[in-house]
Amino acid sequence: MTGSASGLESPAEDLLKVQDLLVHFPVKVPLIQRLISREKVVVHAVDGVSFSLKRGEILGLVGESGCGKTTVGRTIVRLLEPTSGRIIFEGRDISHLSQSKLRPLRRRMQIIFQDPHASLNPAMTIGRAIGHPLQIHGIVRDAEEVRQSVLDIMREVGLTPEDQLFDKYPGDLSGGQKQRAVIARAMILEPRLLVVDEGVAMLDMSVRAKVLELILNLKRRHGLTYLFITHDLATAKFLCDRIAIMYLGRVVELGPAASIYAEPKHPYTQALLQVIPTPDPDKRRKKILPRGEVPDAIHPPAGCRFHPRCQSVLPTCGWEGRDFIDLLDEHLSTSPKGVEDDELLGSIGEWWAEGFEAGRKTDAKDPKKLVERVKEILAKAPPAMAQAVQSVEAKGEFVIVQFRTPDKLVHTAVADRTVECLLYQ
Amino acid sequence: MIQTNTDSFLLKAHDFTVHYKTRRGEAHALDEISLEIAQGETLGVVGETGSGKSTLAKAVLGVLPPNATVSGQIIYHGSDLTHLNDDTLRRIRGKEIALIFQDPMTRLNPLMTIEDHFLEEIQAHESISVEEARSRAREALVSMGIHESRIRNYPHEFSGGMRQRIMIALALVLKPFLLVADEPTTSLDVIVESQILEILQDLRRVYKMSLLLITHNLGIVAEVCDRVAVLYAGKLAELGPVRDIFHRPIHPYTRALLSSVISLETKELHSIEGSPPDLLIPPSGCRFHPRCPYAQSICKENVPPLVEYRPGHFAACHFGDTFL
Amino acid sequence: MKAKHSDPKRASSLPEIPLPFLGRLIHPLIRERRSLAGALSWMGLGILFFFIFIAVFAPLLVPFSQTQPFASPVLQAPSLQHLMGTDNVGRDVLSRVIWGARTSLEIMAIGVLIALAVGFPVGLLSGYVGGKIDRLLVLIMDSIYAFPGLLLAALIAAVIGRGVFNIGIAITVIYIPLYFRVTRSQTLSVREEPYVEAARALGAKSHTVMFSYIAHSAIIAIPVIFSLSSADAILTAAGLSYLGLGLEVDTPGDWGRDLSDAQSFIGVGIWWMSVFPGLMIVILTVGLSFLGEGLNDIINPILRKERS
Repeated sequence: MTGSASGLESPAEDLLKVQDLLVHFPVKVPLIQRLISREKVVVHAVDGVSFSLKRGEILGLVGESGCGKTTVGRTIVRLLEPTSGRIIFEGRDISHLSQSKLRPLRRRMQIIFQDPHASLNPAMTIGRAIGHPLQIHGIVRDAEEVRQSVLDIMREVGLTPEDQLFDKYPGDLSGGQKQRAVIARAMILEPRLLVVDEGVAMLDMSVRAKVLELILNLKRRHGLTYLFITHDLATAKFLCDRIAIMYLGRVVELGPAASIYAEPKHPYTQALLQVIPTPDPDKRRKKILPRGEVPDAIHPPAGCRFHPRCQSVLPTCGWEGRDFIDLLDEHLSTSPKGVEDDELLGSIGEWWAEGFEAGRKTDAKDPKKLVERVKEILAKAPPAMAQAVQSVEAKGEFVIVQFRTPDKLVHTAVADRTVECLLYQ
Repeated sequence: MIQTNTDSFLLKAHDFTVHYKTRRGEAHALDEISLEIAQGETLGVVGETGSGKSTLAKAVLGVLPPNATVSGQIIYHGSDLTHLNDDTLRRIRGKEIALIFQDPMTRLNPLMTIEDHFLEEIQAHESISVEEARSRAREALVSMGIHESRIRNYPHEFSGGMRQRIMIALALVLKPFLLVADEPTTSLDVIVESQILEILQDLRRVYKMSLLLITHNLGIVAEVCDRVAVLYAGKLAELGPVRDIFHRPIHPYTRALLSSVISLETKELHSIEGSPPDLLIPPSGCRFHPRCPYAQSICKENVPPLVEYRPGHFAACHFGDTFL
Repeated sequence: MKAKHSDPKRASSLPEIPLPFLGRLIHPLIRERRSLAGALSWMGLGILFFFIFIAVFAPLLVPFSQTQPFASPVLQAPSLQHLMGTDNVGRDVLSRVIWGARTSLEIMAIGVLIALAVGFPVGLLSGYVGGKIDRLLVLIMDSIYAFPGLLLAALIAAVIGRGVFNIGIAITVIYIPLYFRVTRSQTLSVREEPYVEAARALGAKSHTVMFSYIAHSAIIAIPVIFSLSSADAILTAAGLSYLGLGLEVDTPGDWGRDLSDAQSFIGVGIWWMSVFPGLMIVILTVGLSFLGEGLNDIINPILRKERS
């Protein structure tokens, strides 16, 4: 690791650079299972994320819950350990810096969490909580000086009347006031980078606007750089200069906010934008919703992770054995049960899927019949999926459905942004 | 568009008031609310934290906490819900008026299979055979797009969106007349939220069910509601057809609330000065007056009456005429 | 109450108490004084303070300062001169009961305070650090905890000998695991709170996080345990004395030993030797239990509120 490789590798205007960040969490597996199988079970929370943040800009990290956006935010400020990849802050690789070496850096990068109430120690007065960072870092030692700085910052974030609120406990404050206190506590260290993780999601509408205004004002006055993590596309559009859309641990689209909203490229971005409720009863419309929900991140889908739900999916997007099992499941649950059909296909539990294969052990009487039946079912599948099937064959006592290997997915520059989608490759 | 027709209402609250006794005094959670829900209509109740919207939901279901004192009436099918005994209420609850919660796990018992949940719900209200109950349960589950083979699974084996759909299926298995949905999609992602809202709308069409949708999300209200009630600090500020509320709001609070919504079209931010009042000592007169830019001395002194400014469009503001 | 609502915005109008911990304890005690839990706590506190008063001013309160045997006639029934009578060796029972309060409270204080001083920080550390250290500590503490308390104390007392301080130490060993367990489980739940993570993000060192952020929350459960274990300590100390493992014979007052001495006289109608010391043990332990149970009811809702 090069500890202080400065200047050379990142241009001066990049405050933060994240390269191929991977954060995997081990899953607790029962002992017996661990003895049987060596396979390591991990959650692929963040699976290869890269972006950079210019000084003074607001980058929005947008996605649904479980997409890894919060993990990215926490890993950047090193509350979580990256599995691999690099985090370069002010030209310095901090991805594996020890906590003690990191401590002085924490003055310059701060994080604000979603729940302002839970972020404040219920046993500390507001004044003490806000001033505490100064003491932690030994910046100001004189109690009166601390008090003055705290009162100043309280005024700046609009936590007034500051001398009255100074001695209050968090329980005495409203939600908006608490979030201001949390912002003040972060701002008192004069950070360069502020990670805001769903910072306004829990606030009432009428208060939310004020806190957003505060965020913008602080940026203007202090030249702050923000990583704004949110699931709310409307807020992100208003606030952010650039947006990164995340899905299941990957950034699928990244570019200037205005153009992403004007013309979303990735099918997932398109789907997300389409479902935002419009506060106008005259603009009700039928939406085309992606099917199902976000799959779990222990076994993310092959190829493009959005492919099982995508409206514009191609045969090369990553169809695999599991998708066939899902198709079969749907078929078995929706079709009126013909006994013959059932006998032929068997129950869903008799099928296995591994990688790009799915199969079932047959009773060997007439595997050809099963092959034909599978082909019939595939004919009713989405065309992209059907086309992705390389072969349906009887091999010995097995019937195997083989999918083609997907095309390699890379981030592609499209106009002013990068998209990770085969449609644009 | 469903017009307010006082004859066909399913549920009607009249001067309905709920106060909570707390250690620090009496909290005015709801004060003299009058509104009604027609057969097959969706009424949206919007308001911020402390507006009393959740209290309204609890009152309709008859599950107010013991420290609540109630006055006024909630008329349902000719009888006053506030005067019914617990047994009668229990019979109505679930069978005729059902609830879906914000967090499905508060309703689903982790130790019971989905089938057990259904059987319990059905057999609490109807005396039918277990076989029949089972088939009703399967039917309800399938109508929510969940494969019947999963009926023996436990709640934790489902994703968040599926749990919410199971909850809706549970609420609907007895084909209630009124469904009360308290922030039904708040804990869900936007795409799943849209899926759930679509399901709710479809159901309404099929079963002609009424829906009381309680939410802080004005976008959702605009998309699914027929009429909207705006609550502020326990008082009804405005009530009217969804188009009127969104396009021609009267009450300054409604106008401020609408302009504070951040949507894709937002160009500049608007917020409401001040913070919501303490319900233990609500402001005199119009409760919004300390935050209202148009407040005059009358607003401080007199409680504004709810006036019908347009057909079906009510507002409680002394200067309602000037905002028409 | 009403008159105090001078600040119209915030109705919580009790005086600010600078020490956050005491404030969090005393405010609810004042606020809840009319509830059952509040009444219990105040009653318990009253009893405790009564005994503390007696213990502190024992030399001034005792009617007979001499504790030598045969200073008075033996086995006299309660009379104006000897309000609680005299025992089989001619000592004034009232004087022994008053001195006994001092001895009991001393043992209790030594035992429980040391248990707190050891159990709390170790529990905090164990819960916060986790891993192998935590496992080892839990193993040790659990094995101590699994041992019957009186037996363990008797064992230790037999080894280290008699005396107020030694008995205090013997008792401490029983309660260290209790404080450890309570503190550790509190720490474990608080450790995951966002405000603790926020403190780490602010750059706070481990000990700052532990003491400024976690200890504050973990300590709130201590008063309850403190009261209950004190009650238990009184009983254990009396038990040790009763078994003859307690204090020196010439201790001016020892409830447990007096009970033990009185045992053979109950049958012949000499009730005063046993009833008075016995009553003292009962009143003090019941008082401390009241305090503990009352505080538990008052503090736990606060804990719950702070969590939510």
